[in-house]
Amino acid sequence: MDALKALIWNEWRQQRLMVLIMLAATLIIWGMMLVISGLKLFERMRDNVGVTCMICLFLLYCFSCTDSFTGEFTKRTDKFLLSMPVSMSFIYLSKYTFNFLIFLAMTISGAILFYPWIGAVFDGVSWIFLSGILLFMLVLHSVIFFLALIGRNNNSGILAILVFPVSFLCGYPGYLMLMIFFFKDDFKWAVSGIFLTLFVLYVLFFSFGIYLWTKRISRGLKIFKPLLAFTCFLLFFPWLLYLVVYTYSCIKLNSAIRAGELNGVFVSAEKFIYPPKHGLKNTYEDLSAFRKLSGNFLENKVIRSLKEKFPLPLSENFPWFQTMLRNRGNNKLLTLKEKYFVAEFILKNSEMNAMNSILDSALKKNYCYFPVNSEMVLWTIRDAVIFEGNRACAFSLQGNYEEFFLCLNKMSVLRNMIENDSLDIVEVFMGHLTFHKYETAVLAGPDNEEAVKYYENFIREIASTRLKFINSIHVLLTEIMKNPGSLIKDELNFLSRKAINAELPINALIALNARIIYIPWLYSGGADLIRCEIIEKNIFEKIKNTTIFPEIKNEYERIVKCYGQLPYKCRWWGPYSLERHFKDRTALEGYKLCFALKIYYTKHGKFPEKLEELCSEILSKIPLIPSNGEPFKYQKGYDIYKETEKLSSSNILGTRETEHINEGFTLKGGSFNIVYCPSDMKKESGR
Amino acid sequence: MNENAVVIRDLKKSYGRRKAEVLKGLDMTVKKGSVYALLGLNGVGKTTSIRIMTGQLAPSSGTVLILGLDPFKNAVELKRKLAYVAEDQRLYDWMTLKDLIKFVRAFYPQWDEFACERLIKIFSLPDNCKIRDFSRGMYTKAALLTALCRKPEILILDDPTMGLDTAARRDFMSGLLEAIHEFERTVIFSTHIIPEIDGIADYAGILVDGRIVVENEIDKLKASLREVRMSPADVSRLPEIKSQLNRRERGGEMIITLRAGDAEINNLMNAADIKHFVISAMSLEDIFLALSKPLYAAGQTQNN
Repeated sequence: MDALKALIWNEWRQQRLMVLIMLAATLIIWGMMLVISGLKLFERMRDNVGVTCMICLFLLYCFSCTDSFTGEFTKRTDKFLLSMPVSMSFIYLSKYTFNFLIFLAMTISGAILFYPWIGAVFDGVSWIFLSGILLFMLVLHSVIFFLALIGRNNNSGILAILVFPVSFLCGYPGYLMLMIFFFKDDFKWAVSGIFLTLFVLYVLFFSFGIYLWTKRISRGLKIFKPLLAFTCFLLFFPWLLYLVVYTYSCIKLNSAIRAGELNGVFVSAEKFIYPPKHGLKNTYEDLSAFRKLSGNFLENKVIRSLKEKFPLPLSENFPWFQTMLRNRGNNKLLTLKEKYFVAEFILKNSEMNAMNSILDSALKKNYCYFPVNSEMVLWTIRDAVIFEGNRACAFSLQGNYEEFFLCLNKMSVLRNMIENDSLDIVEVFMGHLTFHKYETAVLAGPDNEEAVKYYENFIREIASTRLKFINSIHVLLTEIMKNPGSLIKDELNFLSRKAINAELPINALIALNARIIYIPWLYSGGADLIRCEIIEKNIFEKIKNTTIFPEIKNEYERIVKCYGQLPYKCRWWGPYSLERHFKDRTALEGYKLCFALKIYYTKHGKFPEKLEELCSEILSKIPLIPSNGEPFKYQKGYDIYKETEKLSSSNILGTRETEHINEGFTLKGGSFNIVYCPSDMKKESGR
Repeated sequence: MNENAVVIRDLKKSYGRRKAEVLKGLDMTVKKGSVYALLGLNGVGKTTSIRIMTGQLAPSSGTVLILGLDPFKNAVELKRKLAYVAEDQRLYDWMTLKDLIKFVRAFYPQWDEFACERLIKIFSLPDNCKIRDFSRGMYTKAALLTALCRKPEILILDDPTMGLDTAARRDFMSGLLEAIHEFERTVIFSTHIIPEIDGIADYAGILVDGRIVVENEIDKLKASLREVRMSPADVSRLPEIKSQLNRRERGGEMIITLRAGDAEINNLMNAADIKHFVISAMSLEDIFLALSKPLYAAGQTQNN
């Protein structure tokens, strides 16, 4: 025991200066964060600074740990230390234990200090995040110790710094995996896997370290150098492969685009929550501006003319539809007439079979359907089928190496689709993983005045940004149409304009006859912005008391119960798959109803009072919500600011903004929620 | 009871990918309670053999027993009984002598407080001064102090005086001498500076090219070797002498080193009809040089 004390005391005496410097740095940065927070400076940078401090500051200490061993060699005190009557492993353990304890103490204290700043992002399951980071850093700690033993001089510190990015890259996908599941309910699946991997790595490097030390494998260690290089290569390999896949896909897409093989390319910005049940005047003004750019085939004028030319029913022949798609020319979008045919046909055959055949066809032949991003497929289906009637491909290249196999798969599918001329629209979405956080919708819900207030600001910001985005799209389109070969340059130009926080303006693009648009990465921080603001105000607890929250909670619990019914393949994705499945089905049924309602409108010039009215002439039966068998809630017209009426009495928004529009319809069911305006201003929320 | 503190048999050690052999079958025996001088020129394998004895290196082959223990397998047990001062040994120089003593004492329950105080006085070491501020001589003395106070059964000193000036070396040696006499323990002293151990060591082993070529009590060693001086003209009359170790010319005289007694040399000279010759006894340094330097004849080695 005396020996252990002496060794630890020795370590402390040698490293106390570094520890104190680190603590001082931590406190100084923490103080700066306080000031930043208090003065509301750099609001959106706090997350980054917080995470950086949580990780990097203590990794610096980790590097200093290397001196624990290397210092003995470089100061040549190793012989003296080894002349002490204790075993090599005892010395190793004492050194390791000391560094480990200090590292642990500093990491935990840092996490506690800096967590409040990132809590706005990673709320809810903080212990997972903290313990994940901790474990990840422990692995790094043991890796660095291991490297210190290989190097046996201070160069190993440099080596460790070089290896750090590799280690980080190694751990980063795991971290992202964690994030994917963070707001979902089956994150434990991913967490357990990640933790196990990290633990195995930790044990491995720890064992290697102690082996090297006790076996006195010394300076030469030539075998370890290629081994280390090989390990680095292995760690990098998926990223390299990913890079190849990414590059290849870009080249392929570009060549396809330049050769005019694609009729349209879907431009995608990151998930954006549109104003849900309530909205603001400027949003609608903005939408009006937006609408002017769009060429919806249900534009009143067009519909009227179509209605005159092609009275319903147009056709009941399903093969006709398929033939039309098959024979359609490559280089143009469907004409309005064709779209109308398709829409009418689908609705006339509006049994599940017809819709399913479209969906199945899409999923089996013309779509890449990936469970990781099924919403995107749904989104594409919706836009393609409802508004355009085109086939589409949701092609997702997302920036994490654990997905590289998927990328490969996607690439081959995409290639086939391009070669087989089976694409009309390609959605290119290359960017970081997106986390669709239904909490955002909840937080922005109508029952909380503060939420509404913040949401108002948020919407204002988005509205102005969106206009900028649309302008940017105009510029981009003009450029691209002038010179299709200069895509990359245009992408860069576009990105440099920082047109973020934008919603997908596919209709705008179509209205502009855009044939080729390729924008690989648009990033939106909108959802995160509102999250930060709200959590900072400690609203989350209040939100829990809203009427929406229990609804979602109950739905979730029900889904969890259904989890056991999932097919084996889906289980890895857990309840989330099931949730998505129901959402997809619900949306499908919901859109079918929307179609029917629109067709009804084109025939009668008004929307029905009740859904049952559709039965007699358009639908054989009214679709139900698949997950619970209940009917959709239909309301003719929609209420702008309906939910803000309560707030209006407190003069937060003003009574004049409460308004009921008797046109259009509102359709709700489960997560499906659409408000349709006959003037084609569409609002939607919920997922 | 085993009277030998160190027994080494056929010890071999090779380094590197090319397996360069540093020790080529070293045999060495050190009796308990003796002061053993391991002598050799630079690079003959002194430090390697000591590192093997202290368990820092594993031998390629051969047997090493220190106090009956295998230094590699029983490293911890042996380190309790063994103290080692390496050549150019570094201590934790951010410590004061007091800190250093406190640190080392924690590992040795048998730590000798009394001796420690005495040695601090003998070596005139300041106990509150940082070791990094010590002079070279003080530094070495501090290392010796921490070694001696552990009450080791065997003390191994690997060229501890390397880099010290004459005064510091003499200072160190006198302190060591006092300590050795006082504590009466086995000491192995590796050096290539012979005069500093002449008079201290009981035994000497001369290490040449990875082997011990001569190992004996120093008095016997001195008694067994002689230098014969004669004129170069007479040398041609000498027959081939098996006991001849070295031959060199100095000041117009030929000096031949022989492993033989006075009577034997007289007989040899008479037989060769050489009248004018002088037989003289050799110092330990002369013996060391005679054995370590190459022989006069090409193709022959000093091991012959």
